[in-house]
Amino acid sequence: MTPTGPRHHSDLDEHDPLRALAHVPNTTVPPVEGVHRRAAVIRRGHRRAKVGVSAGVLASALIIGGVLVPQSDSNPGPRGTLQAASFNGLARAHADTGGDCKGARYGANVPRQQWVSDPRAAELASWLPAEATGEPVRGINVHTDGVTCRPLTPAAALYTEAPKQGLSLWADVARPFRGEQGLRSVQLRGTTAELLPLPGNLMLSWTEPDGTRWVVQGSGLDQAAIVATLDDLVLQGTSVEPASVPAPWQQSHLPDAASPYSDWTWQVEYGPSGYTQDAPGIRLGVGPLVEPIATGVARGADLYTFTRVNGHPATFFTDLGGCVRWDEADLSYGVCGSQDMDLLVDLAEQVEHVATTDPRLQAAPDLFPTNDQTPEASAD
Amino acid sequence: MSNSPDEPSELVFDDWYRRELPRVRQALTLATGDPALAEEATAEAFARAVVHWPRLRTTDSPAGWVYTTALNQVRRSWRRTLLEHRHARRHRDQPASAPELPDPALWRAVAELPERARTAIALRYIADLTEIEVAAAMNISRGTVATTLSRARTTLAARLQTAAPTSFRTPASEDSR
Repeated sequence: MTPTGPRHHSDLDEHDPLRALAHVPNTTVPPVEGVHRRAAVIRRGHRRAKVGVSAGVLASALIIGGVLVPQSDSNPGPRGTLQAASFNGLARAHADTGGDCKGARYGANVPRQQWVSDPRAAELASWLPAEATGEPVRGINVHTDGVTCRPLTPAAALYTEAPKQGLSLWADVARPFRGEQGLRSVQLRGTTAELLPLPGNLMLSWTEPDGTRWVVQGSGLDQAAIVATLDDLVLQGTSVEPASVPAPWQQSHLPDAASPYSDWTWQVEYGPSGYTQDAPGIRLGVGPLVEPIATGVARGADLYTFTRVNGHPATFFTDLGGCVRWDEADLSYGVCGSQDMDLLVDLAEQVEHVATTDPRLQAAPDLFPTNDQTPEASAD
Repeated sequence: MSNSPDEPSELVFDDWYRRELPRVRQALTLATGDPALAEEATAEAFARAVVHWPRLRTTDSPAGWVYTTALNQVRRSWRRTLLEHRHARRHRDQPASAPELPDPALWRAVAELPERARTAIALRYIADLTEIEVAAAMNISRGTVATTLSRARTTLAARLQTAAPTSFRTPASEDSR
C-alpha cells in the first residue's frame, strides 16, 4: 500500500539524481479513523463559522494567523466564539467581539484595482526610494487573511535591552495549557500558577482573585526573575498599571484596541525580477500593529538584537535572512534582506509613506498574481 | 464507519489517504526540516481533505490541494513559535536527520538548501507535482519554480561532486514541464 518508488505519472528525466528522493520508505500510516474524527470537528467549526457563530455551541473555532482552527471538547478553547488568536495561539476567554468577527479561512492577494482605491491600503502604502535600495522594484503585493477582528493583543509587552529580556502579558485568556506536558506548579502573586517551559522561553498562567486568567511569556530571564517581576505589577482587570512596571523594564507601545482593524498587509520587494530567495533583495512589509516588538523578544531573546529606526525601538532578527522590525503609529514595519543589520537599519530609516496612486507604485509590477480562486476552490 | 449521504466516499478517500500520506509526510519533512511539524501539518491537511472530498475527488490534483494545505498549516501554525527556534537551532547545529533513503547524502544536501529551494524540490521530486502544481502550492510563479529548481540543482551538483561523482545535471527538458 505504501509507495516506495517513483510515483505514477512522473516525466522527470530518468538520469536526474534527484529522482532518488522519490523513494519513500515503508512507514506507518496513522489510522484513518482519526482523520475522520478530526474532519468531523472541522465540519462543526465550519458550520458555525458560516452561521456567524453564536454562544452556547459545542465547539468553537479560532483563527490563528488567518486559519480557522476549530476547537472541540477534546481540544478546548473559548466556547461559542469565533475570534482571532494571537501568534502564540492564545485566545480570549470572553470574546465580546465574537459576533462581529469573520474569517474567510483562505488568504488572498488583493487585486491592484481594488487596493489602489482602498483606504486600508492607503494607510499601509510605503516605499523605499530607488536611490536607497539600488535595486529595481520586483513587485508589490497586498494580502489579506480575511480576518475582520483584531487578534488578542498583549496587555503589556516589556523589554530590557541589556541584558536582552522580553516579557509579554496577556489577560482574559482561555486555558492555554490544557493537554500540554511538562507543566509545573509555581507560586506567584499569592496563588499557584502553571509553568510551561518552551524552547527559549517560559510561559506561566494563573488566575487573579477577580477571575481573570493571565498568561505571561518571558525570555532572557529565569523563572525566579519572572515571578519577582510579576509580583511587583499592579493588575487591574485586564490591564497592567504602567506605573507599577519596575525598572529597568521598558514598555512597548500597545495597539489601540478601540481603533478600526484591518488585517491587510503591504509588501514591496526590490531586486532582480522573479522570486529568487538567494539573490540580493530587499523586502519591505507593513501591517497592523498587533504584537509589539517586545512580544517577539519574549519568545526568544537570544534570537533578537535591539536597535533603533528613526528613534523608534527596533529589533533585528536573523533566521532565513535578516529583518529589522519596528512599530510606529499603530503599524508594524519590517525591512528584510541579506544585508547586515546596520544596512537594513539605514534602509528602514528611508521608508516613506506614499499614496497608492503614486506614479512609482503604478509603474511597479505585481509581486504575485492575485488569487482568482473563490474560497470554495482554495486550499485551506 | 458508516457513510451519511453528505459524507465523502470513505472507501475512495481511505485508500487514497493510505497511499498518499507517506509521500506527503516525507515531502513536508524535507521542506520543513522538522518531522514532528510535518506529521502534524500532514494530518491536518488530510482531515481538511475529508471535509472537501466531494469536490476534491473530482479534481485533477487532490494531492496538490493537500500539499498546499499542509504548507499553509506549516506557515501559519501556532507552533510557528517553536519552528522559529528550531530553525535557529538547525542553523547552529545540523539539518534534520534523514529518513531511510537510498542516498542519504543527497537528502542531507537538499536539507541544507534554503527553505524555498527545499520546498520546491520536495514538491517536485517527492510529491512528483508538475511545476505548475508546485507553483500553485507555493504561491509563486511557474518561472520562479523553474529558476529555483535550476539553481538548486547547480548548488547540489557543486556540493555533491566532491563527495560522490555523479551524473548530476540540469536537464532542460525537465524545466519545460
